[in-house]
Amino acid sequence: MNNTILAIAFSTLRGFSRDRIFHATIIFALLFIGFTFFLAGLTIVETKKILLDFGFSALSFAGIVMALFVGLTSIGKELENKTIYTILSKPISRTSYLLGKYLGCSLVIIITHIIMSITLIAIVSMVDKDLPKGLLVCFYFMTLESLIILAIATFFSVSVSSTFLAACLTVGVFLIGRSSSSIQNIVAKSDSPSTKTLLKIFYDIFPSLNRFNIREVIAYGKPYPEEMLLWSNLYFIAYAILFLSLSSLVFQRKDLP
Amino acid sequence: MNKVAIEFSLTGKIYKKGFWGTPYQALKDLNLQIPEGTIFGFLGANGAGKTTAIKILMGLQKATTGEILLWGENPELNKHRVGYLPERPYFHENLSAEEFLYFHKSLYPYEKNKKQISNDELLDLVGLKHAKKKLLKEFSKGMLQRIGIAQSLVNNPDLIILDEPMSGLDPIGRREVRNLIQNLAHQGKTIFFSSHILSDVESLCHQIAFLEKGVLSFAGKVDTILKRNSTEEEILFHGLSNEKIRTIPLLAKSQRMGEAWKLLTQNPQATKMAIEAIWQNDGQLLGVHAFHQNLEDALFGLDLVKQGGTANE
Repeated sequence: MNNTILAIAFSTLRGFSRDRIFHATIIFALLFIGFTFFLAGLTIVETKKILLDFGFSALSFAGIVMALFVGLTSIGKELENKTIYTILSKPISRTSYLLGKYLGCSLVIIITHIIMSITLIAIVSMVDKDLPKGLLVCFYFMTLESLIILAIATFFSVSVSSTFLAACLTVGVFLIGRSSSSIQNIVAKSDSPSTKTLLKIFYDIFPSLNRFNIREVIAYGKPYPEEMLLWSNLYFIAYAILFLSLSSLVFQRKDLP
Repeated sequence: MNKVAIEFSLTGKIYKKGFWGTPYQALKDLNLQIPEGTIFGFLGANGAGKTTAIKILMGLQKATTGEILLWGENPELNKHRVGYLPERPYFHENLSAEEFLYFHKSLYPYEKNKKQISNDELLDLVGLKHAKKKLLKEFSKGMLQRIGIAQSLVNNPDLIILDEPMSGLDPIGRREVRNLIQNLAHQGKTIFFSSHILSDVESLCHQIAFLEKGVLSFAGKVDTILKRNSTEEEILFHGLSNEKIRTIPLLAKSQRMGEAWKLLTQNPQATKMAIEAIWQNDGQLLGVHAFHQNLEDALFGLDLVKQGGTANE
């Protein structure tokens, strides 16, 4: 791999590792996950299931918030503070810069997910040492989902000039992505051909984030479809490449402010 | 004749604010050549188009018309030979000076970073050796400007582009940056810098270009503009009436300065005649010296060239 991509990636990782807002976000996420332990303590039956259910939701939510924060501020802040000027004036292509940033942010997201997952495993182990099968796959899928959100946030942060607008658009795509199974149901039940076509296009264009959701299955101790691992990986790769290519196309043409 | 380091060729930039906004021409048909080995001052008021031209040169913005060449080639091919300090630079403030320089060095591909200068040498050059381990967020404005110049030198570039390097600095800071620019020029580097502080430009530059509302108004050698080779002289005296002053032969210009008068003569012969006339009329001579304009007077007094000037004139 190009050494400049790695240089940007490690600098991004180092930047977040020293960022106080990011530290606060991680602490908040861990407290949020920790809170599920007390919440589950209120129940008498099926404590482990409820603990996992709440824990997964907390972890997933924290992961998405983290991906939004990292994805939107990483390049956005450099554009706003103009630190990007001294970087792009060096013999480094904009695509390499973008890939370096995505790689660095991905490392941040992966490390954060690992920390959060270990915390949740520790909490669940306090209730029941018998951890459900596929727990790690579930954590892995949640990480992939965050990485897709990161790619979408990267795309919007280079496409629109306002961070707030980029955040709104990314959250919009995330909500559509999370509602993909509902859209699919409406398509199946709808009588109007035009609505059907429109929703079908919607469903096909936006990433279906349900492909990374085995949280309920794992929490209830059921087996997940194993072929899902392959297809979800391919699905992630395809969407990450798509959004990063689009980001690169837009970023190459962008006049820096 | 020196090789041309930078060539702006009919370079123009039109901005459009918003989707329905009216287009605004920030730079129009800039034709300018910057020869190798010179300190070149790029002048103009705020909003004249200097930063726009530099951003296009550095590939941060695209020109709407025309092109820019570095050593006769596409700038992308020669980026490894260029160092750049943007206007009012912001840096990753959580890095120490040493980490910051290391990061900027790592942005050069392996095959192009052979010429790199060591961090110690760089910090020594900009007078920041004592602040090697200090975080950038603890730096003063002058120190930030100097570390910014250091990052522009990591690859020992042949061409250094500085956008308003003296802006916001106190007199000591400005002096330090001036000395640094002079040291770099002594090493044979080409320095292209924008400024609106005319005294700095006057003391540093060999050549200048002046932009006005996006249009090149003037380009030429500083010595020529300031008439440094001129034979004109200034005589300062008092004790003579207006009528008697008018009788002084070969007088170019006279100006009242409180009780005293200042006369401008065209040549030494005229000076000699003027001094004799002052003495004969019982005037008191206060001083005689060669005439030097400052850049501010020269630029305001110039009949500005409107188009297509080149620094090689």
